[in-house]
Amino acid sequence: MAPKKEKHEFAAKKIKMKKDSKMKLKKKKVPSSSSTVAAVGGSENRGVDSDWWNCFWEKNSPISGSMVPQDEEEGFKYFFRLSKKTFEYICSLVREDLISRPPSGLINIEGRLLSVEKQVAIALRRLASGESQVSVGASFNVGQSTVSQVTWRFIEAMEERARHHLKWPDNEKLQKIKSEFERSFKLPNCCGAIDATHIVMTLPAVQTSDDWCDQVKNYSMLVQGIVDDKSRFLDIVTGWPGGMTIPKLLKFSGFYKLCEAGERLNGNLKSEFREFIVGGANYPLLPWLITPYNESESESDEMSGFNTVHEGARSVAVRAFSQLKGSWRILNKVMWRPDKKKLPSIIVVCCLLHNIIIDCGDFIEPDVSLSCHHDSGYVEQWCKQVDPLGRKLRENLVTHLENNN
Amino acid sequence: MLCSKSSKWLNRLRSSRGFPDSDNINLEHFLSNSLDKIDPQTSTDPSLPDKRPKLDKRDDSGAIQGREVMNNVLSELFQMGEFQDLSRIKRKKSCRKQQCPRICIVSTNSNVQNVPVGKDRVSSPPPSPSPFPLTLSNRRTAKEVNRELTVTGHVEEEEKGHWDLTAYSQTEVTVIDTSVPSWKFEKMLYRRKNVWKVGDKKGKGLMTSDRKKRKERLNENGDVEKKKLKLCSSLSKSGNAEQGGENKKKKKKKKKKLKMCNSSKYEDKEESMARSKSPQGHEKAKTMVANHEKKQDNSSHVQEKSSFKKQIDGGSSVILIKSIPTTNKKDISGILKSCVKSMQK
Repeated sequence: MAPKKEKHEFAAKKIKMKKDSKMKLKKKKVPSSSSTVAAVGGSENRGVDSDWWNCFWEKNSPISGSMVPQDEEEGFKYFFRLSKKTFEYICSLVREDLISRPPSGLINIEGRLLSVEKQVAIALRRLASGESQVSVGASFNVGQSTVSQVTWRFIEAMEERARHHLKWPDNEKLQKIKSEFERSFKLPNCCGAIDATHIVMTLPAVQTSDDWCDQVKNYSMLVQGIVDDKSRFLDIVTGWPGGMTIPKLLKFSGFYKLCEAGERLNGNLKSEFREFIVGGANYPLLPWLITPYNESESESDEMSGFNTVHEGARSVAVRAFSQLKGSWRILNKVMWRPDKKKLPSIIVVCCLLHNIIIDCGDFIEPDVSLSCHHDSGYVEQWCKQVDPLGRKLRENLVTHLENNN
Repeated sequence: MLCSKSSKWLNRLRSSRGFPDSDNINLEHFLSNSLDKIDPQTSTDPSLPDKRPKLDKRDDSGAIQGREVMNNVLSELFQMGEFQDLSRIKRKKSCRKQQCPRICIVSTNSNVQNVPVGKDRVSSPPPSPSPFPLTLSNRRTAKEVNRELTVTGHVEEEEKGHWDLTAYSQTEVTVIDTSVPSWKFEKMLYRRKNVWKVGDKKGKGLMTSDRKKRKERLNENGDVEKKKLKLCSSLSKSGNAEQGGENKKKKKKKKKKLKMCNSSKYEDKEESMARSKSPQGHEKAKTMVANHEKKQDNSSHVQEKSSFKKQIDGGSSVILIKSIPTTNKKDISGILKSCVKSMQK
């Protein structure tokens, strides 16, 4: 890690030196006062902040035949996946981190220091589009190196500052989630849905472990998420290699350990329906994780009826991952040799952004979500691991659904 | 070719081996005739082949079997044409190499099972060293996954104990798990086919990463000192014998370790040694010991050890040590005794 950092610093210095000369030349054209304020200030930089947007909008304005909406507000959402209001909130979260470390080397071509808003916009655009750093940089009039550094700074800051947007809900919130699941799917005490997806990447041929090679011979990293009724992430595990199976991924997760220790999903343990989550057929049937009946098993109407209800509840997780990969296309594209230590942070920050959008009252446009399954190309392997208590709970749920119909 | 010219010695050789004497013998003729005359049980030349075994000439089943085997082996090796009893060779081959090594993973738990949902597609668990045989049925795939899951339970038991890491591939992983308070942690992932184990990267990393990294990490955590202290305390137990016979250089080296030693027993000896060497340093050494003992009473923190170390470095004790003559074990023990006596006085 250490040598890499040195490299970065060196690169930054280089940029500074290059850009300094340009700055001197261009200073006459651009009023220097506004740029200094932009670099240092907070709320008083509104003028400059709108300036970056104006420049960006001008440069990337909709042309005939393009997908970009004509309306500026919609255009903003098209490029950054969120409203201006949510954007401001995100800026407020990371402002301290991005200002406290003055971007001495991060000067755009026009010679201005980058405002926090522009840094956030660059990072969001990189995550949202998944386009190369060069093309993202071109759309903002900054270099590839700037995009790289700004994006990573943003991710680091978000990982630290936005944690509260992704945590297991307290009792009060959990009650709401349970009641919503019961209202929508008639499943009592259902606390969420679990699913997992692969983040595909390329890796160098040398020094690449086979562990990253998944069932369809892609190099990938796994992400497992538990979501609530609004497709909002409650729990995330990522970083494990794609070669791992889903049951193994679950068993290595902190969530599994907490549940097995009785520290999570431990409500109503003695009642007919204890707290549980729903998962796909690739997950094991556990006392707190309910999976559907196997097709060969589900002979009765009740069982197939349960499977339908179960699939409906589970679809909130599938939808969440489709929205996640659709909104933050960097996760859906094949990443070119990412740093495997940094990739989990990128993934988690995308999940945080997903939650922030929901928390701020924004909504994800339907056309942003992936049109296909989030993990298309992968075969779901049926996990036949069955826990007797899980089986009993599933039978109770079948009876419950039957009685309520 | 075997021979075109006949000679007496060759004829003698032929006849001694039971071959015909005729001159017009060629390879084919030789092969076809020679093997018939070889008794497999007595033959010393197993390399003689027969691609067209004449079964009717022999009633001895053992001989026939032996010849068949030889034929088949030679036929396969040199592609001499059809060979009989194909299954025999196949069977022999399959014994040498497993068709699917994964099946050998021992299953202990029958509850844990896994079956592919996509019935029309064979989805083998990915990173197998050799490609999965195409002839495998879905059923087989399911069995495999069953075993994999079964192993999972077994692994967790193993994780607590010791396991041989040499057979496992290692991958460093950085994991973010929001159910873990710190969110981010690094682990060492061990894998052997479908068996996955997780180890603490810190411990394992010490073995694999370069020294620089190790130093950095350890300095940050202060583990270096702790380890050395442990080493010293273990040394102290067997340290008595080592003390006497060492030369100055060794003593110097050892002293460095001793400075950080946790064992009061060992330190006492060191102090007493120092005191006995020079009366000048006696007072300083005394205060030093007093100071150190005080500190030890309070707590045995590493920082205190390092301050003690500084005292030794800065004080006269270094000079005192230098003045120690290279003596044998007995001499030193004598000095120690005298020192103890002087202390008692």
